[in-house]
Amino acid sequence: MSDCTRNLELLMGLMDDELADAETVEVHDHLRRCASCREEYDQLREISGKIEMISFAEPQDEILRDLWKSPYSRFTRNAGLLMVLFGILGLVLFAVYEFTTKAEFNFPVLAVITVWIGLAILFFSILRERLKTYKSDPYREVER
Amino acid sequence: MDETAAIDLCLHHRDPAGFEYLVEKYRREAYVHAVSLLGNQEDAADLCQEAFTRAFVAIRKLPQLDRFYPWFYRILRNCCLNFLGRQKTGARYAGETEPIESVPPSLLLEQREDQLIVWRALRALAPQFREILIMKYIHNHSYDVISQNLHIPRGTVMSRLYHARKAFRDIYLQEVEK
Repeated sequence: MSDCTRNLELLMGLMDDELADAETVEVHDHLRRCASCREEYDQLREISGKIEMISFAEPQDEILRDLWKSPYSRFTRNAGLLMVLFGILGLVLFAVYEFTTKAEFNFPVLAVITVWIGLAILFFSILRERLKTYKSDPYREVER
Repeated sequence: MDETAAIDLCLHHRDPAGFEYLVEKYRREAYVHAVSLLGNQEDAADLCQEAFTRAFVAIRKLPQLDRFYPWFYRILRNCCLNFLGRQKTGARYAGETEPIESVPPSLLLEQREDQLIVWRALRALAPQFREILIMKYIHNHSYDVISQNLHIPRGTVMSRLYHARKAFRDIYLQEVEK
């Protein structure tokens, strides 16, 4: 790491008053010798002042209270959703079985098959978009 | 009750009172972090609920935990990043070519033009830069706390702050010129 690169990072510590005494001496010494780091420091201090301008209002108590609701209601909802999904899946599988084993025309079975095909089309089109998005996703690079 | 006692209640006694104490202590910080990552208060509230629910389930399985928020923040952050990824997919699926406009939050103390420019510049930053600036400027966290929350060494905090401020400067100047 070059002298300037190391000191540019230490400049942040100086700006935020987070350096140990020895580091502070080192950075001040570098700033005296290096005009470009001095200029960079002044610019970043100025921009730091701009960010300091922003302040958030205190969130309303009502919003904060609502952030924690008993998780059991969510578990119950998920359990209900799962039962509905499994029920639909069972119906669809039954319809497929009926369709493949019985030759005569059966409208309800055809309707369920149509739903099944529609869901498959939706699934694959969303999957395709997901893959496209994944390639250009800026959040992919963020370390989790 | 203090944080250690609350964590102990969650881990070893499965007592919801411990978790409720932790939620009350950190919900404001969690909410502001979520708003700053997502730029939208409704989504932020929803994802905080989601993250707290996940944490409530997961904390019982942990053998040990020293501090709640750094651990919880990782859950919240992943919820937010996954949501942003899904939102991008949704926008693309709906045929929207422009990114979804972020509305200046009513959470901003003042809706002055100079503050809105700062907010827009913050919103345009990469998430890892935005979150570290929010921790530094909104929460006034020390480098040690930022280091714990983001699970990065202190040196990386300084380096990331340097790059975040530089990136902010470039975007801010562009916004001012508009």
